Amino acid sequence: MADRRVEPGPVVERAIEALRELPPIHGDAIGRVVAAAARSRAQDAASDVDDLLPEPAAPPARYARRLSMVAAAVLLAAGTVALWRATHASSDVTGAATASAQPIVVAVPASRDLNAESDPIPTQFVFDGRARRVTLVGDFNNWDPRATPLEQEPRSTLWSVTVPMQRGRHVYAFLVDSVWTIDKRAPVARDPDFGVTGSVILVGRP
Amino acid sequence: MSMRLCIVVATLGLPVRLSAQDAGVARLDGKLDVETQTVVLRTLDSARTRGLPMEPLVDKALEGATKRAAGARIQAAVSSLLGRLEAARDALAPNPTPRDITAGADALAFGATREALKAMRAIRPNESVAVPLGVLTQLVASGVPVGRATRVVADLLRRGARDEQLIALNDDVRSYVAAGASPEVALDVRTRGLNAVLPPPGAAGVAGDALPGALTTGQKKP
Repeated sequence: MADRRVEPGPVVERAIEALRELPPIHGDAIGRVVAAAARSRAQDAASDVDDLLPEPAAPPARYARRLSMVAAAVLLAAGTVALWRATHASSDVTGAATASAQPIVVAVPASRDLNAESDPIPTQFVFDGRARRVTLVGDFNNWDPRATPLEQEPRSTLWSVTVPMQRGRHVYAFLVDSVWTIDKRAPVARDPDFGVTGSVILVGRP
Repeated sequence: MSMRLCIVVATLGLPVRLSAQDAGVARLDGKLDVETQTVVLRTLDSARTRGLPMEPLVDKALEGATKRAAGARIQAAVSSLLGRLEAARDALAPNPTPRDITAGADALAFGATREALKAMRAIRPNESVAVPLGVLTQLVASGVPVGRATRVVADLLRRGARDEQLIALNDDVRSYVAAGASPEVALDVRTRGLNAVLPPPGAAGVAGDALPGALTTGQKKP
């Protein structure tokens, strides 16, 4: 069968490049994003301090630092916008695309879909055995023995937990009553670094 | 800490990076002895200046702490990982995601070559290669020679195999090996099965032609 694909010409390629250009950024939008990020950072930092830092900084000092960070971010964003405008005001590629007499309809090549690729996939872990407490440790939860406890099914020896995980290969283990235990149903992950084998899961199927 | 933040605010260029480092520092707090933490933080700084992801390094240190490894071993593991991350980042250029880089570093630890990583990137220039590299790593861990595993995964990618198909292939190979088949025979059988449902080479509209000869080499890490 003949190959029906048509190689894009230079005009189409320039149009593709033009469509790839970033849209203009409005100053008030930047302000809203920065404010939202600052609020989010403040909430995250507060919980982190509660969990991890034995002696949290005094509130006034923290607010001063965050205000400084927000100010720095605003200045940085403003500079970025100015730089973008300066460098794109006389863009040859944009000019070529808009100067074309005929409207050009192109299928922009699928760019990296970061959202789709970074969407975590709920992944269930199941342990079967008698125990008082079972937790999950792995490269997806900081190897924290307290972060991901499994729940026991009533009147059963089955324990399970579902964790949102990024696509790819992950190493994990169960801590069964604080004893390192590999998942017998999963491939073994040899460990040349520390000599403690774990289990492997490949995440990619929703 | 506040001094560092003042420097960041003054320079206007580093707040995001340093906050990322601070998150790593917070995660490490209390998990390592002082000497090990100092070395690990120095390694994190090095990663930051080289534009490498720091999360895998923090994870490696935490893994060692959870496994109660000696401080010297944790330091060595983190330092070794830094080198692999850089090699993987360079091989997966121009725009690898942190997960791609981490997966590449894992593959290198199991004996995959930089050329193999470059080939995967060439075939999938605009998509993540974390899963293909993870499958490659697991096939090698199952006993498939690294050159053979690399060629099979690259060929399947070139023919448009999806991540879930690659994972299914790996699962099947593992179950066949567990049932007594040799890893290479198991891979051959399942590859034939997958080939039957994939378009022929070149029809999938993916890049990449012949694999470099260097893909067939590569030593498994002892």
